[in-house]
Amino acid sequence: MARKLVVVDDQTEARQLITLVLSTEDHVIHEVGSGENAIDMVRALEPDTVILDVVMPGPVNGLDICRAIKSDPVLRRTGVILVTARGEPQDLQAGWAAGADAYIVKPFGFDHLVSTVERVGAEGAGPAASR
Amino acid sequence: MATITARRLFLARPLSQLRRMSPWWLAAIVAVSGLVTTLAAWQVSAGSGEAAARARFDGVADQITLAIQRRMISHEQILRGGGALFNLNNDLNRVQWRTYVAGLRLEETYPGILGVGFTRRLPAADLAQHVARVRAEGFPEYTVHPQQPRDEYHSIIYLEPFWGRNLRAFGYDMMTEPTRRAALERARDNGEPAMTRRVVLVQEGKQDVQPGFLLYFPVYRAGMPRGSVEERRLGLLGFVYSPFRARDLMTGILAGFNNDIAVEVFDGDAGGGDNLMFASAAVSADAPPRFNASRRLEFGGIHWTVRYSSLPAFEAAQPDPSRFVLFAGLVLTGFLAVLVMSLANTRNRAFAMARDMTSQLSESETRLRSVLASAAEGILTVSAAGRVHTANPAAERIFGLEGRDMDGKALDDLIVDHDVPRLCRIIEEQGIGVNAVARFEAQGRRATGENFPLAVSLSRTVDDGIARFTLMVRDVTEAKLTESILQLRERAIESSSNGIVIADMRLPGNPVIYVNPGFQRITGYSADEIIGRNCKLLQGGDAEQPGVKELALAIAGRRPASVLLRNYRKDGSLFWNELSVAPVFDEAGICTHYVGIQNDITQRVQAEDDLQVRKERLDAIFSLSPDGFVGFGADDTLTDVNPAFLRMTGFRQEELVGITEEEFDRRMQGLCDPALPYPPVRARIEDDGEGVPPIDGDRRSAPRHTLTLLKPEKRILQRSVRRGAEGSLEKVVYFRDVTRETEVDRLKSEFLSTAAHELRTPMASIFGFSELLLRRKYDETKTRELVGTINRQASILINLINELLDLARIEARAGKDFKARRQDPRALIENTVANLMVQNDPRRVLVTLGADIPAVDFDTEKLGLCLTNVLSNAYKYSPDGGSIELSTVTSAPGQRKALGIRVRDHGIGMTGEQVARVFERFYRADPSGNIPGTGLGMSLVKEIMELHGGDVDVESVRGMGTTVTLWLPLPEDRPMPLAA
Repeated sequence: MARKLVVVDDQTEARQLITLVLSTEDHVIHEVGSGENAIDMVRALEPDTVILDVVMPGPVNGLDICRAIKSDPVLRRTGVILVTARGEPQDLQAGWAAGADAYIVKPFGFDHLVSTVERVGAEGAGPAASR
Repeated sequence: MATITARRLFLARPLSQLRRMSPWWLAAIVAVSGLVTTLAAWQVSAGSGEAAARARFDGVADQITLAIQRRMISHEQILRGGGALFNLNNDLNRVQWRTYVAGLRLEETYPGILGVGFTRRLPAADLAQHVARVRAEGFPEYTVHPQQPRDEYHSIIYLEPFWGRNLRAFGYDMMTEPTRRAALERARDNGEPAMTRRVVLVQEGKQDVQPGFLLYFPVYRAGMPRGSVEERRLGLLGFVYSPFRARDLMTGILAGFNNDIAVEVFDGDAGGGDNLMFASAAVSADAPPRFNASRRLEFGGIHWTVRYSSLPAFEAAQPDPSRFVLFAGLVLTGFLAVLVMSLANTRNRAFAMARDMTSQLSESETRLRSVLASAAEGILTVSAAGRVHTANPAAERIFGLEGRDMDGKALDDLIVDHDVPRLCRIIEEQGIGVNAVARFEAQGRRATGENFPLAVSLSRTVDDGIARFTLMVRDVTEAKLTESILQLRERAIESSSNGIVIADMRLPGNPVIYVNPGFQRITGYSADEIIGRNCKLLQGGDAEQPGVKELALAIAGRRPASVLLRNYRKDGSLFWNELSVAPVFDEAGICTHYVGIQNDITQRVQAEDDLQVRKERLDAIFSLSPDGFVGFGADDTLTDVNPAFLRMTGFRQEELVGITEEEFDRRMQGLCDPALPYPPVRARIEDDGEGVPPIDGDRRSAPRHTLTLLKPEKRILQRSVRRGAEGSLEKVVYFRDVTRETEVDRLKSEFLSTAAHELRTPMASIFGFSELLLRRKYDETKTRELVGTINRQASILINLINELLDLARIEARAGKDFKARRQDPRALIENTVANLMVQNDPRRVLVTLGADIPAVDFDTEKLGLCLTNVLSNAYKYSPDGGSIELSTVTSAPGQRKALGIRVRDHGIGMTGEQVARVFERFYRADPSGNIPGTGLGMSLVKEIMELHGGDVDVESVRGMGTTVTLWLPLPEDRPMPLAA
């Protein structure tokens, strides 16, 4: 099912990888390179799912963006997938606390990303998917 | 014949009557009777020849009979004298007896008497003791014989002269032989001399055996009644006796007569040979004698018959019988008178001795009477019948009979179980004689019926022939009590574990006269080894002690003292003697003794020393410990606090000491992070589920707690509480500053998670793109692009790993592989710049080197790494261009002399916060990944510069660029050569 996705990552290669992995579906993918611009892009695009890097330079990191989306009445049904190289338990804990729908630790497998996007997209389509 | 009758009468008179006559009277009687006989014979002989011969024969017979009679009387007197001596002293000893007998000069005066002896009566119970006593006198062979057991023994204990054949009689019991026994019993029962019938004496050997006989005289115990036969039997002490050989005796007696008349002596009536005791010459049966006569002699309870027969010599020689008769009669009479007088004198001498002694006794008794009334001790005299005769006031007082007449009271009413026979036994048992004193203890009985302990001194006196006992009695109730208390004290002293020693201060050198077993145990010296010596013996050579001087001063001043001395046991080992001494004074105030009580406190001193050492060590630990200690006393207030705790908390000692635990908790809580719970020290251990259990597992240790202090600066303290003994409030609170450990732990864990993140990031690209290539088809261009990405990310990964390893190596080896060499840095700088490979950046580093760059010490490879890192950062963080400049500088005047290699860019720069964190591992000023890097570079640079003894300066302005200076110290100013 074709979805509208936003990929937020400060690393070009990381964005490129995610875009490439998901390009076989009919998804519409928008890439955002910094946290500061991410919220505006999400509000403007109202994607089905946002794929967020957690550790990004600058004042706004992935957890901030996640919380902003989940606390926005309009956006809160948007699925949020955190993709990060930080895999410690406390990092996961922080991710769930921020309201993320899924947490993927880099490096990730091809199919894992695809199925997670599929699952989160399906939940997001359902009524009141909230975590 | 009236004269004959008279003579016969005289002869038959009981000898006892003679005994009391004075010697003069005896001599006079003998003389008168002799004269009468002589005159009568003379008259008769003046008649016809036949009648004259007959008269002469009869006269000789009478004279001989008389001579025998006299001789026996003499012997009786000797025995009576001996008996008198024994009456005076029942325990007359051998020497006294010998003296008496020797004085009689038997050998010269009385031929035929073998000796004068004493045989003692011995109850069977006393036999063994008696034999032992005699043996002890020097007669080891002595025994009473024959030995068959019987109730009563008699033993010849003295027989003087004590030599030759008399020795055979020593210890012989004459009662065992019937003939002797009959005479002995007669003598005993009658109280008179008694003679035996014919016997063979034990003194006889195998040759020349003669008939013999013995004469006995009984001796009774002094003071014993002897009125009846029974009393005499009871009171018998023994017998004085003499053994006689009949032929020797008679030969002696007949020596003064012509042997023209045969004399035969028969025991009893004249008869056959059975009872013949003596015959002077054989009478021929062929020629019957012309004259015959018999005389009967009564003596000692038996009679002898003396038969006279004329011999031919008598019948042939009759020249003038009348003249001969007159002459012989006169001579004989004179001789007899003198003899009798001398014998009587012998007897009188014995009696005179007795009288002397008796009079001395009387005087003594008189003196005693004079002190009776005033004597402190009770004095009683008791009759032989066991009745009180006299008693002094003290005696009345003792027996509770004040003012009452004690006369006539029975002795055994006053002294329990003590009657006269008992007193006699006591005297006998104690082996003492008249006028000596026996002592015994008994139970006295007061008039009230109460018994009490009594000490008695007993003596027996014979006063005018009446035996009395004198008893000196003392109520020893108090003495007994005192004695038992003294015994108790003696036992206490003996059993004391302290050493007790007594020194005599009156003797030179003040020797020890007593030590108790405790002393011997402590010092190892036995009593024998220390008594008689001065106590200084214990000092060894170690006299230079304050205690010794103090002791000497105290003793010199006759004062008591307590001192602590180093003393030495017999084996030389040291012991600490806690000695207390005290003087003992007599009534005159003269110090006679010193008593010392010693206490071996070696172990205590050792323990105190050990304690002191431990305390000092603990004090040092307390003061020097980097850990904090706070002590609370038993009264729940803070008593001790160490410097480390004060450093941790910023408190001052004076504001803490004395505060309560609660107040302490309050102040500590004031320092702690209010966001975290504060576990109070006061919390009871069992209530405390929060803390970590104590490491030592000791119940007294409370669980550990971690306190996070914000004031005076952020600190993490670990706190443990150790309580004192069960039930005590004392406790020690221990604080360990774990700020650094906690921080290191935090850094380590942060480093790990950061390192993992940094490793995963390029790995994610490598993994992801390679998976894409494997699973999807891309055209040639796209494929190359993706592989290029993989390659780039892989190289980042490699760099990261290398730098991590570099850092770890440098940290771990702490510069051990550091190869510093003094050299010109220019070549290094130029080579590094030339080899710097920066992709896609056309800029060249502008190098400006000073004209006089000094040689410095550095490790080429490592300094090159530093410079590469710094230059690489300058490129990376100036992505928008701008020159990159390298110059050398020297330190400012006044600062440490160093060469600076300075790299400056005009890139994005850093904020102050970023500059502060620039040396943190993995810290990236730009973490976007757009600027490749590991975040380890500057950490590595700093480590390496510090290994060189140098430093790194970073100056940066956000948006304006960054300047990094690597400082290398100049050689002459290098503080320390590196340990490379």
